[in-house]
Amino acid sequence: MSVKHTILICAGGACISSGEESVKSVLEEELKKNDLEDSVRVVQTGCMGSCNLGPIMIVYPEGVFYQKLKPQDAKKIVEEHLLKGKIVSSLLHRGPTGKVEPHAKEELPFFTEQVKIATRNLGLIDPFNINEYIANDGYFALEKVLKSSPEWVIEEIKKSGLRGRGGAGFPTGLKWEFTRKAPGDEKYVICNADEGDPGAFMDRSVLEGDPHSVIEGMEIAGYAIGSHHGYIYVRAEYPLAIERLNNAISQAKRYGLLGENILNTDFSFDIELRIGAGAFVCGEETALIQSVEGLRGQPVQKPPFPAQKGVWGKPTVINNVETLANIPVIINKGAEWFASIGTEKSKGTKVFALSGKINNAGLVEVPMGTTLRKIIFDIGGGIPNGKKFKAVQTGGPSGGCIPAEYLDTPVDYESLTKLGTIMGSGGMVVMDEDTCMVDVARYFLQFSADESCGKCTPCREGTRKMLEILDRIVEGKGKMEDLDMLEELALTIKDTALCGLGQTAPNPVLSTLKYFRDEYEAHIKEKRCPAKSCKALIAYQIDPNACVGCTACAKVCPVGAISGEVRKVHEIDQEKCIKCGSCYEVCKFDAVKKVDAVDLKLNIKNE
Amino acid sequence: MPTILDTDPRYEELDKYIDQVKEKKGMLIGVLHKAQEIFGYLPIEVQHHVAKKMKIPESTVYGVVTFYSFFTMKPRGKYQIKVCMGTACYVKGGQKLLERFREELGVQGDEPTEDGLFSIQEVRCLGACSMAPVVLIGERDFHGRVTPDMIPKIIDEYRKKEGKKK
Amino acid sequence: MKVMSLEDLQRIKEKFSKDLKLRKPKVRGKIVVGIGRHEEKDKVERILKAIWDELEKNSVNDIIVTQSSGTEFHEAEPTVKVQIEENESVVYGHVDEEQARRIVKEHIINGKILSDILVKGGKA
Ligand SMILES: Cc1cc2nc3c(=O)[nH]c(=O)nc-3n(C[C@H](O)[C@H](O)[C@H](O)COP(=O)(O)O)c2cc1C
Repeated sequence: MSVKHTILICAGGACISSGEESVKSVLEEELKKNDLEDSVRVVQTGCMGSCNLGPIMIVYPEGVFYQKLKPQDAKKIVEEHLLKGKIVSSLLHRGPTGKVEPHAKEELPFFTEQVKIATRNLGLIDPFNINEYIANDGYFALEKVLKSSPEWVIEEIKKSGLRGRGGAGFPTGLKWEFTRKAPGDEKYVICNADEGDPGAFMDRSVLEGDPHSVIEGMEIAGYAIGSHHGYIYVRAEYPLAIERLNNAISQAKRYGLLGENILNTDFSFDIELRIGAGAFVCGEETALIQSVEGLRGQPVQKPPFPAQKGVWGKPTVINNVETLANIPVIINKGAEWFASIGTEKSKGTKVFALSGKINNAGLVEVPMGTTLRKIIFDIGGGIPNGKKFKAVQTGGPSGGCIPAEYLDTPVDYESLTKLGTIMGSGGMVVMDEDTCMVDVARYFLQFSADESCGKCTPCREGTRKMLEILDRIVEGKGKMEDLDMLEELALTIKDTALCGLGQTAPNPVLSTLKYFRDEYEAHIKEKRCPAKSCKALIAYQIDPNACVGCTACAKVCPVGAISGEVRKVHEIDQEKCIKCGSCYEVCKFDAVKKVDAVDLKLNIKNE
Repeated sequence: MPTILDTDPRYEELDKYIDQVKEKKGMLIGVLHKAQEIFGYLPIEVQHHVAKKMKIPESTVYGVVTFYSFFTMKPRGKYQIKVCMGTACYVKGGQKLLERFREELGVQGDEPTEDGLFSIQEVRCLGACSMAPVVLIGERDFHGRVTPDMIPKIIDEYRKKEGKKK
Repeated sequence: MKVMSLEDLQRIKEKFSKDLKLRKPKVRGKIVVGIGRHEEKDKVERILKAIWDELEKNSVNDIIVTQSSGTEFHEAEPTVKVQIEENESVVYGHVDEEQARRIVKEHIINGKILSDILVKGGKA
């Protein structure tokens, strides 16, 4: 019997976490029960990108996109769609107003505005199946490269204008050329899959959804620079990526597409996995090299650069996952094609991980030069619950926050740097009016201070000092002089720290000071947190006009600070309250309010 | 006070692994991952064993164990509750989850609960930002979009699981 | 099985790309509703609904309908772009629900271009 339907199920990280596996097992059971096993093909794919809609299933040939599935929904799809040919409209995605019902993935704005190069196979092929990778032109670039000279490959990558996607944006072709020309009997390729920036999951999705593209990219890099050995350095937090990479490596070896005499030529290349152990600084290239060697991951002074002296003291190319995933497509479609996408100095596309206060959290790939507004509002679907956009954070702990007035900025390496942030690896965390920008700055600084390896003083001591000041400010104990002090410390650390971690750690503070200085001043001068988020500066109060006396808040309060009888107005004892916010979350009548603690004290005094 | 004796049979499994990878360079971190998988943690006597077996100075092993946050020298709970402190989780209330877990379990830091069932860990971004805030229990159980009032139920789930086993 | 040559790769590709082809919906064409200003989202929704409704009434199910912001023709928004197979795309301007229904009936179903609301393309 021939296949009548193909069903794609997203097996990306988010979908798995929201129960994809049980949906799939019910689906398979139902197919078996209805004798549809031969006419319906079920394929698990990598991340489709629309992570907040998971678990997701697409049924072809109709191309119907079913979302937020529960295990029992799989039964409905089998009975209605597969057997009766009726679309199950209750499982379709609703438009922003909840009315319009697009059927196909190709009709959702989230997908139509994207251009997929690095993520071309995500949500399309089965990451466990090398044949499907080959079917979508996989390993053809490797074959082409092996027939050409390494110099041609480097020239092609240089002409494409590809720049590193791991953060710094260094031209990839140049990096390869330096490494090729560096003297050394042995050379190495390292894939940086440490993806440490909080709020970033692009690399994870590529590794899990299309591991062969990274392997092929590494082999091409190896051929170009004259190397026979590669390492993939993956963080231990990504067990699924490790599993799929291991599987892909052994498949490629079995096919003779990795290992000795690849594609029956005299080129040999081998790949080993190295698992990180939870140190952010290991994403920095010199620290990463230490860690690959099994040592403490502390950065070392550059120069010498890894291109001259890398792992085991040999010339080494280090490239990010996404950078490598672009390589096969550039070789297949040509440098000119790639260079025709993007802006003058930033070519191609960039994958972003959208998260935070945004409707369509997930993975998106767009041409360089796409505006922030388009990414956040058209693709990302804007801010939930009718709240106002306040800022978007890019570049993780090395980046900064961009306020609303710059939403029309076309995103590329240069434009973001001009705004005081960086492209970084592609995390975009959206913040709304409830997010306190001082607290965000404090959060990132805490992160950098914790992750500082301690080797150089400016980073180790400087970030601590800055953190102390920020801690004071969010507690309402800051002074105006503190702001000058912060700036001075920030600039000193930027200039004197040993590695990129320290040099960029002050960016979140500098950018928020630049765009949200009024919030800092409100904390210091008025002891108010404008976003009503800093615990020390707010209090919870019950609005007597809104409270219906349902007792939900009193029940949930962990410290018994709320009193009141059924159907009577409740009250919070401010002395006992620990400001956990449980009452605020549980109240269905919006009767629990966050207020500025300073106002409360005034009231009490006046009484 | 060595808690793992020299004669512990689990050393055999570890030694077998070390013999397998001996030929490769720079395998210390990999070996320590394996050791922690076997013993649950890396007390000093296990570190000494690794050092001797791999012919690496004890100080180097100790240096690596203390550098990486994944390695622990203290035992952890049977179920490790990993509360994500990534940016997305943080802006969506991850800190509150942490506080509630501590309160419910009556622990301050990363020490295990008295019954040895749970320990709490603040972890770096788990890359599940679209479901923020998230909590990972053990290696695979992801809980997404968690609110503090869901926590007692989550803990109960695991307690029940244990109860059944007994 | 070892892959020894380009021919081997091509053989695998041929065999398995059939599977991949089944993972694309069968479509004949595309309608894109374009509007730049966000405050007019309602209008887009109404136009979209009209198009969907008209397509369904006439049992047309090989047309994809999407929306887009920032079209080239700001002054003519809301616009509707129609692309059938490989033909040059056609853009209509100042479209309301009525016109949207006409576009489906005349252009999509009968292949006739509506010259009175044309902004770009299609020699009328
Ligand atoms: C503190 C720090 C952390 C970094 N983390 C990562 C990371 O997680 N992934 C990554 O690809 N690059 C990271 N980088 C950048 C790398 O040092 C390096 O520039 C990059 O891997 C080079 O690859 P590319 O040219 O392909 O971008 C980090 C840099 C610094 C300073």
